Amino acid sequence: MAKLHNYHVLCPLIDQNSFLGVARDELDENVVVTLGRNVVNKYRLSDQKQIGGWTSKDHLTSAVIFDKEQDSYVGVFNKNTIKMWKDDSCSLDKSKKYKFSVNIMKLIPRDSEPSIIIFENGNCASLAYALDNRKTYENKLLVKDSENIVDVACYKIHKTDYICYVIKNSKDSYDIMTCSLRDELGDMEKSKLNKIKVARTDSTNAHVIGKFISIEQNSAVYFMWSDSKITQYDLAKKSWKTIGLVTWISTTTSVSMAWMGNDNLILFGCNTDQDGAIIVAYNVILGVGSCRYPMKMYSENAKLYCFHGRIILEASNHIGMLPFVLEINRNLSSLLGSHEITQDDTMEIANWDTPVNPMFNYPKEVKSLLKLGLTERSMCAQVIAKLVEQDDINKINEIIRKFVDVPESIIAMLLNYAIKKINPSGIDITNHEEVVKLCSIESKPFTLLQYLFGIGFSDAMLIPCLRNGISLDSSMFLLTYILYLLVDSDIKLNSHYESKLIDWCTLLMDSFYQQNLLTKDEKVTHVLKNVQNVVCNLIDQLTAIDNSLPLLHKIVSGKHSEQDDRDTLPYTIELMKI
Amino acid sequence: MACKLHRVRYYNPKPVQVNCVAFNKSNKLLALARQDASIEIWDLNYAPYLIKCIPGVENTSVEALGWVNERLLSTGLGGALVEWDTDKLSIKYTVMLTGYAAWCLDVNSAKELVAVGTEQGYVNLYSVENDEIVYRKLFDKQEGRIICCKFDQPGNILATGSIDSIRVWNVETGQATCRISVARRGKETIVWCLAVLSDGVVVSGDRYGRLTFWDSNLGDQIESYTTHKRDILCIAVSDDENSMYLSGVDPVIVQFVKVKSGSNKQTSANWVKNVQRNIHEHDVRALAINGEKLISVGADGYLTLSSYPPKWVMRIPPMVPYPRSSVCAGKKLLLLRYSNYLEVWKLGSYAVNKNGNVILNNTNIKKEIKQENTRTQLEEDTEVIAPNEIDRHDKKQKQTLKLTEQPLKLVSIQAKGKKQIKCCELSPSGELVVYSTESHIRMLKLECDDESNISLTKVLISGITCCDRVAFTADSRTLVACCSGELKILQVDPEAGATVIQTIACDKYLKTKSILHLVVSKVTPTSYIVAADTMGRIAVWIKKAKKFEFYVTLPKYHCVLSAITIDDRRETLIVVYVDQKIVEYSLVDKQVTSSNKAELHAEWSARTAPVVSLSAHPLRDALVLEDDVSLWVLDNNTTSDFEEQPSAPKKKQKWFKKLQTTGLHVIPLKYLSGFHWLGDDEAVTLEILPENIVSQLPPGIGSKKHAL
Repeated sequence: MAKLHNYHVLCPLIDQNSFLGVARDELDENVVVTLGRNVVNKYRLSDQKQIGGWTSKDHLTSAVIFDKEQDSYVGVFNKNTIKMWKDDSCSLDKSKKYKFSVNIMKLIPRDSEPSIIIFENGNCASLAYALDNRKTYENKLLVKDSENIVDVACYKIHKTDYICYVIKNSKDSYDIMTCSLRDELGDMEKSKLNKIKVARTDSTNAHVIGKFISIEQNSAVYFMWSDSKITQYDLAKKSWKTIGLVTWISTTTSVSMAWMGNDNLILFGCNTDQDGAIIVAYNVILGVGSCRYPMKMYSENAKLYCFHGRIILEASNHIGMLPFVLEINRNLSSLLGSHEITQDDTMEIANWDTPVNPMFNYPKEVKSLLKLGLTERSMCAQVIAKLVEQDDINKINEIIRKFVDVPESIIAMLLNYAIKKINPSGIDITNHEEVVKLCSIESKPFTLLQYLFGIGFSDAMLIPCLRNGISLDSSMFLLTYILYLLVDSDIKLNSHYESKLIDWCTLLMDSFYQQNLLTKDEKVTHVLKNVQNVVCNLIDQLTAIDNSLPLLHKIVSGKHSEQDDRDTLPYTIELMKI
Repeated sequence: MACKLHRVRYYNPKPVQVNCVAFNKSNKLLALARQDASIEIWDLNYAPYLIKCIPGVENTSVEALGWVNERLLSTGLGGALVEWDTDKLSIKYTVMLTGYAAWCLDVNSAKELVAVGTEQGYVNLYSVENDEIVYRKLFDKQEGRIICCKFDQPGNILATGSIDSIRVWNVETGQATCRISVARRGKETIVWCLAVLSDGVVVSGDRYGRLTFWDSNLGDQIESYTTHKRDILCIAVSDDENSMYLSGVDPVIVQFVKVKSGSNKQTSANWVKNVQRNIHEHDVRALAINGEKLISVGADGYLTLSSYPPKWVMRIPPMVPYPRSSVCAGKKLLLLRYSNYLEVWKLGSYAVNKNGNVILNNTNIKKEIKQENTRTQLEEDTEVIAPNEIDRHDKKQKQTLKLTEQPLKLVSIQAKGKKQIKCCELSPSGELVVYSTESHIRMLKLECDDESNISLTKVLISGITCCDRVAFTADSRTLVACCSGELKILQVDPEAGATVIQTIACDKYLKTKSILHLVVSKVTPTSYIVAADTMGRIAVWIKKAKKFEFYVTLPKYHCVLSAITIDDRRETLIVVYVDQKIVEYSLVDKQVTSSNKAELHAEWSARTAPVVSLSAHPLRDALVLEDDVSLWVLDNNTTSDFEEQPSAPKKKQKWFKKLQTTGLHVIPLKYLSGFHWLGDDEAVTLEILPENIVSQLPPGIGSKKHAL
């Protein structure tokens, strides 16, 4: 799920029409805002403070970027001149001019490779190469006069660089043009130029209202259509796919799009009542909107970016900033009801001639079941139950990893099975040393347990299974083992797994809530107290990090002054004439 | 010669917010109650001066106050109507109310009836004629707590405000004649304050910052203005009903004035918004009008007086009542009084070089902190003197000495039962600390010869349970305490304890039993005790053989004295009254010797703040007077050593030259809460910086600027 936080104003806008764009700065948390034709400012996102800026007498014509290779800022002036300057230079008018004979459209910064210059005629080149050959640069038109480049981005497939243009022609239809780039030179290999017409397979007369080239998670071009559908053109597979419907946005006006991360697109458009705007986070894998954020004002063709966990949005008289959090989608149930199904009337010719062999790898145990067309869950249930009966822990360890969707009853069963194997009844779980000794033995049951904790599940379905399948003692052992994993073990946990472990703690306590309350067993109290201690300890550590971060930041930025002596009292003895 | 001034800025008692005020128009006394249930009575006849302070008791509250002529009534969440004895500063009479906690109280204009509104919705009506409190009637119970109540001018109707409604009652029958629904949009609307005008219009201020005018007969809304962003907590209407002020959680004070409009036949009056003033940064809880001046109090604890026109603001900071500190010059000890505890500090010492000269701190790189008040554009105090000029002058001269020892807190003494302290004193020898709460007096022996070994031992006191003022003689062997109009002389022995050896009844010589000032002469050939009461009477006793005998009373003066001291060298008594008059009285000749020349200075007579304490200069024939924001030095002979001042640009110095030649010298110190001489050229000042007061307050509503 996505959650958008409070809206902040990053900076006021001088004039919306002359606003050129925002680009990432040298540090992730800063952005370079090209506010107008002669103003460039740097802002820190965390506190929205201006940390630098330049003015220029010449007119900027595209957003200023930071080029990591040259370690300097690069801007396009008067469409045909490039200037580069360092962070500490005070005036842009004195920096060296590189004049081109061809008009430059924009600059695209890339992470590890040199930045790319895009020319208005559709050609492109890496910055260094273009600067060296600016006099002799070829001038062949790649886009027709009637056409218009509306979006451009560089992406990478199998270590080859590509460039992708979205071109709009005079008839309001769109084309995608892709071409691989030559190493270092950064210009196009014209022989591999590829043009795809943007059209819907179903013959509706919907038109494009929003487009976006995504290069971060997967290379794809997203289009939003006037019938609220979002389609995706996968640049790697070269195939079209319909993602879903976004019904929260009015389709009469244009929609701005950006990539938020973690399968989420961010869309900005007019709301359905057309009396305000709305920001929608849309999960492209599940095809559902994961968050809505109403806004007061809509502005047509607003520029939309996503930097450093924040959405940067051009609004009518300012640039706004919206911090957000994205959570790994764990609970599909929270999305229930957010997905709207509309009848799809278009006819599609299906090919029922499925291949005999499935397209994926499968263990041989399920071969017979596959033919029956059973679901993964029921297959898993049948296979694992049989293996448990046979008491074949090696096999279980191996097979269970092949399934993604494991039924909750099987998780409970396996937990029980693993505990039985470990047989913790011999040790006193209130004795910490004994526990550590037992748990540090690397054995199959423990590996199984560790894997089980990482499996995705539904709370509501697992709790009854745990209640029925596991004894209170086992639950106490599980809690103790989770604590061991969290605190004492040397196993490296990733944050996702760690949060899963904490979820398991909650779940185990939830399932045995009444027993925990009613029992007067000291063992239970001890384990629960241990859990509390560990959680409190973790919280303390988080606060400690929270407190020390600003100090560390200060030290890193060199602003930390020697601590002034706070112990001295506000007290002086002064000479004064009375 | 320059004086070595110990500037103590670590004395920061917690400011206590003010809950409510009641202004007595006949004698211009203002009663105000703070959150800690203490009640202060200020005399506003001349410069506002705190004359009485009733200490609060833990877990009690005062939510409303009222004056019935000279009698002070209060009520609070304890559910009782309390009459206070303003002489003895204690409870005189208590009546339990019906309906639990009480939120509001109003006295009718004839001073006959008191109405109290309670939590359960009962209005309790009491008759307060003939110095009594007699139950009169209980009005019909209404739903929900009564938050505010107000009589109309003749006292026939009473308006009460509660959640979502205003009721108008017939005082005679105790029945509601009208119910006005205030709820809007289904949201709970709290009516915080009411005013009833003589034409039957009820004015209400509510939770949503709306000021609404209602017809009390029909219950119709006449007019409504949204004047504040947040709750309106208080309304004050002027006597002529031509203007009203309102404020609240949004601390802007808005004035409404009545404007007559229409032709000759049909004149109708309209209320229109006039000026608004940004005086407070925190909730304004109560407003009162004293003639041309508006009194506003609230969560910041300040007592603020303001007027417009002329635009003028005066703030009296929240401080522990005087006397709040005391010194032992020999041991350089400083006693600090807080609400319910005391601290004894050893002052720091400065470095001296081989020649015996002091070493200046060269590394004085303190930046001038220019406080920018951009946040709310708060109105500054209107001061009589131009402070900038003095500041500049002062900063140039500022020379900080190098410290060899930091000040050290020796002990912290919690008052018995955590009660609020009424008075305290450190003996001149530095070995005894005495304090009194409203029920207990305690004397403690402090031994601190070496810093690691500090001990406090209790010294027995017999014959006295508590006192209002206390003073030691110079030898620390005699203690003078006054309690409820009697002076008790105690013989003190740190080992054996203190016993009363003489009791003097003051009623013959003084007008009231509450004594405001008690001074004991230190080094005069004969010992004098001087006591002054809250009506401005001063009586002097002299030591004859073993006993003190009545000596003289000073001539009557028309106002309260704000400070008094004995000039030991000349055996004169110097008195400053709240109207800034300085009188010198020779104790030997029993007559007024001279009025100080200070009155000739325009600057002196233009002062609006009272002198809080004064002392004679140990080296010159000069007086040092202290008020909340500055120290004034008045030289009696005009040719003082000030001619040797470093010559600064003439223009800037012009004003100063004028003052210097006339023998007046002002040192601004904001807020000065104590000044004591430690020797001939050494003194200590207690300063409470305004920012330290603000930092201890809860945050005001403020305006966030970044969020949309």
